[in-house]
Amino acid sequence: MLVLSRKVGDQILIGDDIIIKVISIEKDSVKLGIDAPKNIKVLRYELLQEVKNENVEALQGKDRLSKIKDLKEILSDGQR
Amino acid sequence: MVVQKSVVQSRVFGELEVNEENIITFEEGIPAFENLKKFVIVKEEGSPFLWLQSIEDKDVAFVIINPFDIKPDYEFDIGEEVLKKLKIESERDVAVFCIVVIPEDVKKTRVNLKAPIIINVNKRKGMQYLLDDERYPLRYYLFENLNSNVQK
Repeated sequence: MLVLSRKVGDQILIGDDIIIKVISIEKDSVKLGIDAPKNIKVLRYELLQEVKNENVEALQGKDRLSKIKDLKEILSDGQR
Repeated sequence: MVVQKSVVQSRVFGELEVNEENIITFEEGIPAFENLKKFVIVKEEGSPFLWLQSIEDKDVAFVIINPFDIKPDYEFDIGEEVLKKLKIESERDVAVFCIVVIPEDVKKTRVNLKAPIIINVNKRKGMQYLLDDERYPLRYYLFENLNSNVQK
C-alpha cells in the first residue's frame, strides 16, 4: 500500500482522471473531495460491507415470511 | 418461437419451471453473492412480496418488495454507469425492488432502501445499486413506519 502525507488543499492523482483532494482535517476525521469520471463507482467502503451483511441476513428470513403473510392487509391499512 | 424452459431447483418452491426469457442476468452478482449471476423473479399470489431466486444455487432466494408499495415517495437518480451497464434506454425499461430482511422477531422486518435492485425488464439485466443517499436507510423498519402512517 502506498502511504502518503498530505496537507489541507493537497491533491492526489490516480490514473489519468481521478483526483482526491484533502478538504479539511479535524481531530480524527479528514474530509476528502473525490473527482472521478461518472463511470467510476465511488463508495464508502463500509456501505458495501453493510449491504453484504444485510444480504446474508436476508437469506435467513425465508421461512419466516409465512408469519407476516397478513401483511397485505397491514399495507392497505397503512394507505388508508 | 420456441420458448426454452428449464427446471430449476429451489428450496422455497421445490422444482420451478423457468422460461429462459425470464432469467435476469446480474453480471456482477449481488454483494456477498458475487458468484451467482442468474436469477428469476417469482411472484406469489395475493402477496406484496416476491422472490428473487438464484438459478445457480437453490438456497439463495431473497424476499423482495416493490418499494413504492411501502414508500410511495421513494425516488433516486440512476447513475450514468448503471444506465450503461444495464443498457437502460428509457424509464419504461426499469423495475425497482428492495430486499426484505425478516429477523426472528418478525415485527422488526426491515427493507433495504439504501441498495435497491434495479432491473432492465426488457434486456433482462439487473444489479444491486448502492445509493449514497442520506434520505434512505439501509434498515427501513416496515411495521414501525406503517404504524406511523396509520396514526397520521
